Amino acid sequence: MIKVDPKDIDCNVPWLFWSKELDKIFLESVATWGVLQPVVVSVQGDRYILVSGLKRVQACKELNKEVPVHVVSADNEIDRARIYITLNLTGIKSILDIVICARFFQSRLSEQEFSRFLSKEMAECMSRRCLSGLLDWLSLSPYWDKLLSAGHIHFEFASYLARLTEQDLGIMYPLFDKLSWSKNKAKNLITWLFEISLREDCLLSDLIRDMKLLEILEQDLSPKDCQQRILNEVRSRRYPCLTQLETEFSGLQNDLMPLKYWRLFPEQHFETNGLYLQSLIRDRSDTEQALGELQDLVRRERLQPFWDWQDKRFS
Amino acid sequence: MIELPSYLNKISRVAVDEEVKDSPLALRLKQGLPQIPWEILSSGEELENKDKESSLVYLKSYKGNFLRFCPGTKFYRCCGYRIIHIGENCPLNCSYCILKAYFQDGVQKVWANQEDLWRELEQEFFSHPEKLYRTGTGEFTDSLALEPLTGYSQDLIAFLGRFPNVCLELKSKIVDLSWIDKVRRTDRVLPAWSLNAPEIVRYEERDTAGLEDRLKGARECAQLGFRVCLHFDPIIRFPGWKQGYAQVVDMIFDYLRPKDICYFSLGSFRCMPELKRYIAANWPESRYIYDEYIVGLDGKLRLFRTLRVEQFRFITDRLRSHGLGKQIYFCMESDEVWSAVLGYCPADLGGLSNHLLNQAFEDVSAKKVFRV
Repeated sequence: MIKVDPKDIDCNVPWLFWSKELDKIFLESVATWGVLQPVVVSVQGDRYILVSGLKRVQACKELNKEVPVHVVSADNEIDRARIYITLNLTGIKSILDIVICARFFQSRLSEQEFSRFLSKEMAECMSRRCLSGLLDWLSLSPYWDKLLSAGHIHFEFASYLARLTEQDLGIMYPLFDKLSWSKNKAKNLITWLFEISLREDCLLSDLIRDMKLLEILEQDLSPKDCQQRILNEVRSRRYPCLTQLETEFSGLQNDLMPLKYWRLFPEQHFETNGLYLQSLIRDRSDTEQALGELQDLVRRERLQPFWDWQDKRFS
Repeated sequence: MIELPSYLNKISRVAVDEEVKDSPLALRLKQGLPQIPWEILSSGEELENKDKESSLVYLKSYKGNFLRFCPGTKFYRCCGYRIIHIGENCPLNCSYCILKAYFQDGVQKVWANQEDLWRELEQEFFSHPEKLYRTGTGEFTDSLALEPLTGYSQDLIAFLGRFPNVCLELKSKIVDLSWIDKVRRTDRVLPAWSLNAPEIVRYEERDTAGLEDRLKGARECAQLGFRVCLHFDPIIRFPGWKQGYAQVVDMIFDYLRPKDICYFSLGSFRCMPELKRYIAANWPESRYIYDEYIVGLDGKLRLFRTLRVEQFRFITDRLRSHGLGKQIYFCMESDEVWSAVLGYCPADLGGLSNHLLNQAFEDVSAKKVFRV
């Protein structure tokens, strides 16, 4: 182990995938105890190249101290990156960390070498399922990483996105760039769009244009309302008969039966003619009021229009 | 050497539990596949099939119940037939096959400990001679797909000939009538074929017999005095479905008279969500899975009700126009769908299970049954 001036170490290297910002606590620790573990460097010509230990080098630079280094013989960036990974695997905090690292190797290794790298060197930090998702994600252009980083889209949906053409992906991008999607909503959006395009045998880009989804983004809506509008549009195209009947049912409810104590809803997906009446009772008074409303429902046959509607629409 | 149908030529490996390696069924299979290497599994040894080869046949000493109830759910009307469980999986290759999702290991399993099967069946059927049993083997496998190798249905028919209170349905998508010689009473065996629109048969049912061949097989059975059962299951919506189903319905009556048909089931395509993923991955050209399927009351995906009713009504009207009546029933449907399409519910027929028992045993009531 030798000590060198931190200014002599080239830290501007692309494999420091998971390096963290220098913070006050770390700086104080180095000031008090010094660098307890040497940083790892390799030698290139008359310069030291940092392999791992950016925060320690930065701290020493800040404190005007020499930094202890351990020199390894790694004369290319692939080997240096491999050493970095070995030393920093525990630093992986999210799938984005893996994506960043994988993109580095993907762009420098042959397909076969890359596949071997993933299955051997990254296996420890990834399940098989995750590995397959990673390959899907890597098939997307790197600009999608920005959305992953911003939390606008979930990594799991790479398998859906990976099936799309570059043109389709391009037109989908603004939907995710402008809005942050929960896992479930994104799943529905992507699945429905994808399935409609297969069913109708059309390009996703044509579908999105046809449904005017990008125009919804331009409307003066809150992000939540905007998402809901988009999802409603897509759902009604994916399930046209179901949504039509849901709309009719809800219209009937509004027109015929504004209830205060009861919620009326049909059997799941109208599978039978059954209707559910649900009431939330907090106290005795609620119970009496709800009971009164129920008796009124029966006496005035207020459910009859719903039976009539079902008879008409489902027979 | 037996000449095998092409779908059986892909068999490349046979595994057999040691306990059944000398069973009649194993010996028969060995004769049919003399060139295939055999692997004998000692007691407790698990079969390894990491590659999920579907070309693997496994003769197993089965420890579970052979006679089972149809796994219907309480949410829809089940026909209530009893399954005689002779094996699992199917060597045919239909995109929509539920067995592919049920039995993901891909192995063609055959229960080779037939002595145990006979014992269990005898105990049940002998103990309740007054009770009628409508049974079948086509729930977890195609009843006849492995018949050229195993002769299982021949054995079963020979065995059941002793029990006039048992009716056996053999449901298949191939044509194999080798079992006919073993039949003691033609009114106790119901040869059955699953049929579909020509487009579905052509694109979604690989390795199966053509529609005409199935119907020729049905006609031959009818001419020999059997009544046959027919099944449209799964009914699928595709562009031109009306024309397709009209065509197959009309074809049926070119080969059969209404009185030749014991019963005729209609079942709309339904599946566990895993099967949809399986189809999407393995049959990318099969776009019917993207139709308007919703989650039904039993958790399975099924076509939205109004669309099912539309299809059922169309097909039913066509079947009725050819003279079918109470033979028509729905597999796993609600009373609402029954009423909308047929104008009555299973309850009006005395319950679906009873109704089909009456259809199957049309000549007898329970009181008249006696053991021969």
